[in-house]
Amino acid sequence: MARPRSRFESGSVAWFLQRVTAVVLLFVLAFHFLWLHFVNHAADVTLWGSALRMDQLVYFIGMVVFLVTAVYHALNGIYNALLNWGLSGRARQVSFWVFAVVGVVAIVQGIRIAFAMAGVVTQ
Amino acid sequence: MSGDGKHPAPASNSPATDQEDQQASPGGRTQTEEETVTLQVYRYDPDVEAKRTGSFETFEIPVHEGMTVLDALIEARDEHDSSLTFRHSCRQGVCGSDAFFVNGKQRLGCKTQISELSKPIRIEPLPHQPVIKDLVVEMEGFYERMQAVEPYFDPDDPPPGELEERKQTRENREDVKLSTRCIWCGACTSSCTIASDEDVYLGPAAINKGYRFYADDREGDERGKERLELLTEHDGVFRCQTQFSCTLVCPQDIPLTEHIQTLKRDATKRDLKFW
Amino acid sequence: MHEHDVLVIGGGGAGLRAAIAAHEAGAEVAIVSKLHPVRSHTGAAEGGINAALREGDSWRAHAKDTMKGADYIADAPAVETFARTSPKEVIQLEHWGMPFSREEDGTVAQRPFGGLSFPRTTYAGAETGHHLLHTLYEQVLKRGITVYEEYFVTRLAVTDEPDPADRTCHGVTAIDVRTGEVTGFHATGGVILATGGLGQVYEHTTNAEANTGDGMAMAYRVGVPLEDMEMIQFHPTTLPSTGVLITEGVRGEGGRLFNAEGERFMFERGYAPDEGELASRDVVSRAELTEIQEGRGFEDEYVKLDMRHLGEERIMDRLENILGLAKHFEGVDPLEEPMPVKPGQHYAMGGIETNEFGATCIDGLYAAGETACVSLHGANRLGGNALPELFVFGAQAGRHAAGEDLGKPEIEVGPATTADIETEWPTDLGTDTEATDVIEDGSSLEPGTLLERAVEAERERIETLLERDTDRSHVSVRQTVQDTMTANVNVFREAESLETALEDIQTARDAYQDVAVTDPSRTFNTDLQQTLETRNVIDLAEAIAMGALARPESRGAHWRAEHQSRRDEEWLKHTIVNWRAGDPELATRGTLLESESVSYQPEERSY
Repeated sequence: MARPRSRFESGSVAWFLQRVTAVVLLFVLAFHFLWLHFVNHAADVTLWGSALRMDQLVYFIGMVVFLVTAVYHALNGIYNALLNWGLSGRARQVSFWVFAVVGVVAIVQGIRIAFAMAGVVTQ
Repeated sequence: MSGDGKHPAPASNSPATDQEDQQASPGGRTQTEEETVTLQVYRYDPDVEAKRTGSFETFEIPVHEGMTVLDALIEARDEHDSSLTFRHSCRQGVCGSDAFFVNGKQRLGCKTQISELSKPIRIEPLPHQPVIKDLVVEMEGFYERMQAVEPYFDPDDPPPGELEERKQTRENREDVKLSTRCIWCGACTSSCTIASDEDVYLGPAAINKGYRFYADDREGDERGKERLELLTEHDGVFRCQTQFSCTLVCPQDIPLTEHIQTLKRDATKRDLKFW
Repeated sequence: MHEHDVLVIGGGGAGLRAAIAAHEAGAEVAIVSKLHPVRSHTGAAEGGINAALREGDSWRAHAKDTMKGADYIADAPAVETFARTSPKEVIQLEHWGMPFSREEDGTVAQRPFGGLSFPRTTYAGAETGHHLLHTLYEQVLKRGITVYEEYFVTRLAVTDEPDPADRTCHGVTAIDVRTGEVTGFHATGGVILATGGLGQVYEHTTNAEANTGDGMAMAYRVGVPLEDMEMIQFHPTTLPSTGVLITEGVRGEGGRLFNAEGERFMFERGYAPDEGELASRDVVSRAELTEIQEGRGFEDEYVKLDMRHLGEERIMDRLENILGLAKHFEGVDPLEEPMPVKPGQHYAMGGIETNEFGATCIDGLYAAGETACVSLHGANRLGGNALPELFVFGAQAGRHAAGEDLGKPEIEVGPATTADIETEWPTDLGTDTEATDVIEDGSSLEPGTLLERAVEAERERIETLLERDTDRSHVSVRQTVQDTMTANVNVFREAESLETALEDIQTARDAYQDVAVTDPSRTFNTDLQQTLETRNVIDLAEAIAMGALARPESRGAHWRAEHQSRRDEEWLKHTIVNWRAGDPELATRGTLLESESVSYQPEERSY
């Protein structure tokens, strides 16, 4: 008896995305670290330096990807840890939505900051 | 894994054994020197004043070659303290009664050689389950999880005839072979931190049981889909964190985590297919 | 007090199948077992299930092999029912999902086995019993049948008419092992005993610690005759250290037995010139022991079983778990070297006397599986015939207990038999103390009251054991029995040793009057449980030794030094032991060599 179910109900999508974001993070984190520690150095990590980097489309997109995958991976990870710890029922539902909202807010604000940083050069 | 590799070949296999220095005991086992082993066994009995708080009791047991943890416990019970209580039956690793926590790992008593363990040997009841008495734990939670996956053959189509079997390829039989070996000992579920306390996570044994039927071609596709749904609901396979403890402790060497991963992959493919 | 239509005592293959059959016949059934069903010893069976499934085979051939294997004292109606029904039941199991091993074409595979004229042994790896047990338990779960697990049944609630054939069984009393509470179980339709074997009567056995013959002993003590108790099967290939079973399937696939001189003695020494290692088990066990006794054994204790030549692939496909057992318990890798083996107690052909419907002489009391003696196996059981016995006769008993009309039975049951045996017993037998489990005046009581009295009686018995202040534990008593049975009632028997056994058993009985249970706890008191089991062990050991002393011939698994051949003119009979409230008597009953469609003539039995 197949009842109509949301494809998200089993948790398979979240599981899959956690692994996909893990792989993506591997690359963007590596890039981010290399770029800001080896290629550029501490002295270059200024608002102006960052604005110059953000002005490059590829870097901008890369940072947004970093933002989204990191927020998702971190919040989903913590959520799952809480589930394993015994979070259930009402508390679980509430937590889910709190995390979701926090996640969305973080991403939206992060993107706004990215745009703001990119726009500095032109101001 | 307990029981593999390091069991010393018993004297009875070497052709040049000198019979004279050895005394055979009824079971054919030889006892050379008075070697003993120290067991520290968990004791608890809600019915007896002195045992209402759990504690450890020490037993000194003479060792013979090939002795198992179960042998030692039986010796301790029969020769020292008849109130020592533990489940056991077949002595050969098929009934699944005697899963204990030995030196910090879930093992079957009858399949664990004394000679392989560091001494003193600490024997406790399976963790993550209420203790009824001494080494006997409440298995109801485990049985309920098993029952929750509808652990019985339930095919889509009726059988071909009263005297005709459903065909099954040797390959398919081989695919399900390992998953059919579960003896319901509870070691895996006890070793899984997600399945601990009153968590309702199905746990590796129940999921493996579900897998056993899911993977069996004879049940049919419709039933397979239903089973996958059941196994991937809340507190189903996606609660597994690939800890691998279950696979490590399974006395039947069932690749539990692998079976769980297969179900996760199949569910993900099912859910992501939006075309 | 619990009430059900049909109660099944024991949750192994026979019990589970009986419960399913009773349920399907419309009865409200419950299983009561001292172990959780999946712990039952059916799960240790390895080799296979015989059934005449294919072209070129027939149920008649299977029946004939079985009767020959039984050395001509099986009852033909039982053999016929069995051989006819097994194929259908085996396919039924496959329909229930049992993971049989397969041929290339996807059909259920079969292999050769001891004493069979056709390779008709179906199997599931070398763990057929495990798969059978779990498949049946799964079907019980599917039907939602109630299981009272870890309830130890200690007494049958039976009325007290002087002739047991007039008695009625109304239920059982059981100890809830968790809490120590004694409860009554009322069965309005019938009680089916499916409690398995009695291996714990011996020291070296393939049987589990739980196999203490509870059902046999309880039925015996309320007047049901025990049949052919001397027929004990010693399996030729058990591991010397622990008695763990190495399946006949190894020999079925081609494994070979060798003595210390490198001879394949089954052939070379003429024990079984045609079948060699695949002769009937009693023949092989005697051969092995003869080799050992004549000095050609290893360390005067065992012989060797070699399966290296089968090749790793074949072994991994069909005998994989044997590798684990040999490595684990003997430190031997069968892929590299031959395994040490010797005969060990394995199966009881005898047991509770029943007809082909599983009914005993007591109304409402049934038995099925190893605990029963229909008789299907006569003086020796063929490998691969024990598992089908469980479901063929388990189903029969289940249906009959549920009220289905199965017709008129051909096999007679009851204590009324020819008491033409004059056996000189060396000592008093039986006991005066607590001599009967039958409730006094039971015939005049309502079933409910009868059960209450039975519960009271059990509570009293338990109190006595708990309160007694001696320091004698049941362990030494049981050890005495096991030692004497192993020394004196083994494969080769002679009058003097059998008499010693009976004397030792009496000594054990006396000692048992003084045993005390030291553990005062009500919770999970295994000390109490095992002490009660020891009583069963004593009663059954005596019955076995009685039968062994009384039967002056060698037939099947029973071999007497003083009478080394069969005596068909006088002994085509079953031995029957009646408890008679603590004053056991041995009688005989004639074997039925004819049934509806088959008829047998005893022939010379050679392999």
